[in-house]
Amino acid sequence: MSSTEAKKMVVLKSFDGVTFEVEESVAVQFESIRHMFEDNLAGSVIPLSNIKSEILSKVIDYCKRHADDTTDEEDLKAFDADFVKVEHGTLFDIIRAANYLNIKSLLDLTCQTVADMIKGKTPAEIRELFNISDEFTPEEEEEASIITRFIYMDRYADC
Amino acid sequence: MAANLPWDITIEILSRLPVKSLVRFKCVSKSFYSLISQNSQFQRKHLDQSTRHDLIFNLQHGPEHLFSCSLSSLSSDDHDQEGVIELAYPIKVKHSGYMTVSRSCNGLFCIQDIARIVCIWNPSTRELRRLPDCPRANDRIACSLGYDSSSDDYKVLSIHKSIIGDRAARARTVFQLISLKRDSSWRKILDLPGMKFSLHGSYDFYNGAFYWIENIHRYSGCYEPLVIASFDIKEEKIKKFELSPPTRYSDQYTVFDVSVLGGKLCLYTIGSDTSFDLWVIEEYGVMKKMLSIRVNEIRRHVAQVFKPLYLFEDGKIMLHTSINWIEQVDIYKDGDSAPKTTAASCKIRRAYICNETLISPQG
Repeated sequence: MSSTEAKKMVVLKSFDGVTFEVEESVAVQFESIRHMFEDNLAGSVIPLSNIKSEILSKVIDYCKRHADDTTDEEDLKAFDADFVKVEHGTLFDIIRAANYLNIKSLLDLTCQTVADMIKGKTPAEIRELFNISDEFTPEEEEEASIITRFIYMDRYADC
Repeated sequence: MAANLPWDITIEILSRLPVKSLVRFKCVSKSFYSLISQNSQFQRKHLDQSTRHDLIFNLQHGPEHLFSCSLSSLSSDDHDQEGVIELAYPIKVKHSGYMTVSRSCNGLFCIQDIARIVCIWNPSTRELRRLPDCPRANDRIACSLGYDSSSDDYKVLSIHKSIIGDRAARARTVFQLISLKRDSSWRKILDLPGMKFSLHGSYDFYNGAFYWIENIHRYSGCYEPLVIASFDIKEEKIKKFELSPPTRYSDQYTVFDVSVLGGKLCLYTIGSDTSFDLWVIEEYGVMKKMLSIRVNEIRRHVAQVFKPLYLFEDGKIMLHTSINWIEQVDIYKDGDSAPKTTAASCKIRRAYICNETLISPQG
């Protein structure tokens, strides 16, 4: 950013009390809180009470990069690919933040990353990952998996 | 590591999974089961997100088997290859493996078995639904599947010719329709004098209507405009518009058809000089040339194009062709005289494209 003219800034405050000053052109990507800074509340602090500073800083990084028109598409792809190379816990935190702030492109990126990660997993692994409580009884599960095995001729049914 | 994700985020993630993973995940829990197999909103969301397309084909020397593989594994350097999967035939077919299949609509196919009974088939979930017996099934010219967004319902159009005696002048065209949700039998919609159909058309569905070239069987090949007819799925009426042939055609051109490629209504020609030309019909009567392929002259006498299968975002096209007597699926780009890539070099008899979907043939 070479321009020196004063840019409209928005102040965001994370769950653990860290404040971030963000250009409005970046913050407009936060669909769900957009009305708060567009309603002329310049200078006031917007509390994001369910996002940790570590995650918020990553999300802001992402939005900064995506708001910058000078970045070419290849670089952006490489940035995205790098961005999701984080621990699973962090990835899920970013998904929650993207969902809460309603940043569609970030939600797409992170959900697709998780989808690619879990597509080959077994139902038992999925249950553990998603912390599933309404399990089938063993009999019901056996029945459901027999149907799957039948449909796919046992080619990729391992449940 | 448990994610403890809210249900709406779980839905976001699941809607981006391949169908075969979702089918396997049905037995994860009751909520997964009902989401994946019963929630039509989720099924629709999955379809809208899905960019996965499959090529389904059978072989000249093994017609008793069907195969399926993902398009991305054929067309790109993507090494996430899931390989070719064998599919059982959903219906009884003749020994040659011949089965009549329409172009897929939202991942569903309309197919006919040896007794000309129409079935709706989802190759991704292997679900099949047999439709009620259709009167006059033996004089059926074609049938095709479409989606009526106004009633969130699928409808099958069946077109029949009836010739009284052997005089073509007394031919009639009969249209029958069945809705997957509402109808328990076929409804006769239209009974028109003359031949209002195209014998070789695929009756592709596009934007609420089935399209074909009505005057193709008597198209003289020079100056007469093509009559593009469409059957509107909501109003259940025929509409027409004229299309002037984009260049002057002599009788070297053997095939004209309208088709849906890359989400657009297109006109294509397959010439006896082994050329393939494609135009997008932008609005009624206005066309834009998309691509033109002339297969290498040396091979001319043994090369033939059967039909276009898929138009990629980068403008490349997948064609089902026969080169040196081998039927194959090739990828070309505009101006090519030889295939860029031979996606499948085994001898392919029939090939179809569909998107992967959870949508059930039950409607």
